[in-house]
Amino acid sequence: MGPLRRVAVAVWSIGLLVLLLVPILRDPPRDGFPLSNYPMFSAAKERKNARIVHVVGYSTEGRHRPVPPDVLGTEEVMQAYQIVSVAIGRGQAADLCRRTAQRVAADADHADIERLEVRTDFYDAIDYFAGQTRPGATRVHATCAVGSASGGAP
Amino acid sequence: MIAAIERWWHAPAPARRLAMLRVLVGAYAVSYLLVRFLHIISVTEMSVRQWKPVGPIMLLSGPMPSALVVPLVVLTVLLGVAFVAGWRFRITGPAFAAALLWVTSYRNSWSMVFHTDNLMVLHTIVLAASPAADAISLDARRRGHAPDDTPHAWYGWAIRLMCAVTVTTYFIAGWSKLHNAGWGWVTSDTLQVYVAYDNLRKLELGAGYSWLGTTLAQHGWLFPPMAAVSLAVELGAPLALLHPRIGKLWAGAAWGFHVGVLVLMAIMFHYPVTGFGYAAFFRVERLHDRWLRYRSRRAS
Repeated sequence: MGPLRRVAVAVWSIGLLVLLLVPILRDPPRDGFPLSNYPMFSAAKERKNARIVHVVGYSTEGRHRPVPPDVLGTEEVMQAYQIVSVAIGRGQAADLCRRTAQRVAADADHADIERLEVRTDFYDAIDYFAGQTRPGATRVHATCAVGSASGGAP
Repeated sequence: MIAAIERWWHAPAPARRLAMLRVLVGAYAVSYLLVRFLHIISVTEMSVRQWKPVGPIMLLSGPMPSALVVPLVVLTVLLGVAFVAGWRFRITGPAFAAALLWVTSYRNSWSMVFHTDNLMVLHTIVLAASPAADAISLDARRRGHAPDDTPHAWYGWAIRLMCAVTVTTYFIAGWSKLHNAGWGWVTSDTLQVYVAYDNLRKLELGAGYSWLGTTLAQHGWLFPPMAAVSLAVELGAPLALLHPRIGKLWAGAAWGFHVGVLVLMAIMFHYPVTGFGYAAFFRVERLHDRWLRYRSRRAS
């Protein structure tokens, strides 16, 4: 390899590696793509008050179940979580509820669902799987009927 | 000192090893685009309220017209085929890397960054800026000759850079855990809570979850050792550059780490779990040898 090539390789290699480190050299560190500080699962987390945002459907028989990601417009569970989280954070839960209700109404698998709630539930993450599945606290951000355009904040 | 580092960085490698990395990483990326095609283009149906651009997409003032997204993904696939084949690589290599970066960044610009794609894109960028099509390529066939198997520094640096990029991403992940939670990430119940919480979130969003993870989450004593091993794999990643054997051992440990994440949290990091993410740590030209032997047997 000639000296020019060696310099080019050194500049490119060092430059790329420094670029990779930029997200953690910032204060505060910043997530992005493809340069990231890979923050997933890195912060300390308490088992109590595990916050879950979701859309819950209530059936004609009084049962309830979460609306799955594909009805929220994505096959990715984390994208679904973000869709609900962003809607709640921006005060657009009622709009999300209405749009989801339209999808539910068009989906034969959810023909028994008559009402939706966009809600935040707080659980003890570990006790949940020991049988304590009732949320410790709940906040309903929006509720809407399936098959009608009505809906809004509770 | 600098001369020693430079010699180490340019550890000679045969042209076919780098070329096989191009074939493997490129084939993975093309397969990824095809398998995830519907998922990638699903952003066209997302609400503009989800729009949160990352990477090069921050250059845009808003989402692209929906009609542009599908042709762009198709073009990226076609460039990827040229990348794998090593056809006009000086143009198609960088073009594919740029297009892949754009498409994956666009997909990640809707309020959710999928950290599963980063390494694949970074490896593609490294390969695109290297002489990865000097062998096992249409370019080599057109030229009528390819380098012999003599290891050469010109082909070694890019492989070293791929390995360095890999270990850097792991190191950053480990650094973030220490930065955000301190050593308590290992000694406390943090990992146990994350395993339980992530599965709870999946369950309460109507998606599949890990039964094993939720069962083990009831046994807190299991998790500090697992957390210690995970952090050791991440923070110790740079050691993988010291010697090829250490590199292979680390790649095996990191692969096991991702299998653990899959089993306990139902989170699939396809690129590392399938092994493609660690290919640069191995003598992948042996796969080409096997292919040649297979072809020769069939021909005879």
